[in-house]
Amino acid sequence: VSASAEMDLNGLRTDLLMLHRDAARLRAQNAQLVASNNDLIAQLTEATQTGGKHLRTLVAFHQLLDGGDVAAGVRNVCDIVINIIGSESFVIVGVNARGTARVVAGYGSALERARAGEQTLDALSADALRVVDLKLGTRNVGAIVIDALLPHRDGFHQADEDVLQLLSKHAATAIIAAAEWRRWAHLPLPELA
Amino acid sequence: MNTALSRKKILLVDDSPTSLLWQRLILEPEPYEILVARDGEEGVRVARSSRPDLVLLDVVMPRMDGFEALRQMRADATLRETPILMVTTRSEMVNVMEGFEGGCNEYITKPVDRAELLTKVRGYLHAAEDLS
Repeated sequence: VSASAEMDLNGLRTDLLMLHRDAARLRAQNAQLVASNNDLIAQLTEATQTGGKHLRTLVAFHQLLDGGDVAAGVRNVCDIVINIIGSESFVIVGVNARGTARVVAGYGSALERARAGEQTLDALSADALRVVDLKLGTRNVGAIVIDALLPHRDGFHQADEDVLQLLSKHAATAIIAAAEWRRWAHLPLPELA
Repeated sequence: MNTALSRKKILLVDDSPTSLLWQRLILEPEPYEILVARDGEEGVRVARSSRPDLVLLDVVMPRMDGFEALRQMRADATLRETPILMVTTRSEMVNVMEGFEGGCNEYITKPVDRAELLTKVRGYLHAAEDLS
């Protein structure tokens, strides 16, 4: 009986050893699956964030091109700053060739301050959260002076920086192109030879 | 899932072309029919005539603001159960409270986060589906 029991015990030990090996193999496979799954989740998260980021720039770009005249162009820039950047306290300042600044649009307390008398770019920019130069080619023709973001926004993110860069490079061009288009639209068609 | 959702109508009420375009770009790849109104008054009118499955409602709008539009929609028996999500820059507690007291289901702040909007819209449309 004792020998038979010993044999059974050895058999069970062998089975147990094999089960341990199987368990170790399954644990290793599981770890690989978890790692792979985490990698997929990370890729999906990154793809979603990238998609969202590009979407904001795409919307801003589309809206910039949508201005039918100067007023609409300026309104669209304001709309982008409010709804995409998330600020309700900013001014758009134009600077002419002689360096004279003029507030052309804005929103909230920043606009009220400008109306109260502050019109120079330096004065408006003094306590600004961000000043975005508006360029026509390489020349600065104005700026968007952002005083504050909405209370629930914790700062500028990369997606915001992309939109601000787009505004810096193209907003002035879009507005001036809209003005030119309005001026040219009334010209008669030339006679073709 | 897509087949069931293909009949869902979402009404966007916002006076900002930028905001409307953004919300449309987020939602249009999904199988939803998108309706648009550009102020609160038009929003109430389109909601009554089209009976959307979900409304995204801005607050600051000309002619009729979002809170008044919300009250009028909730006063209409056919829209009483429609999920209405306020989408607004106004995150102050007094505005959030006014939205919930007026009967909105959610309060989403601008700039709209794509993942948040999709998650909430899907959640409400699926919840409505499960109940029906």
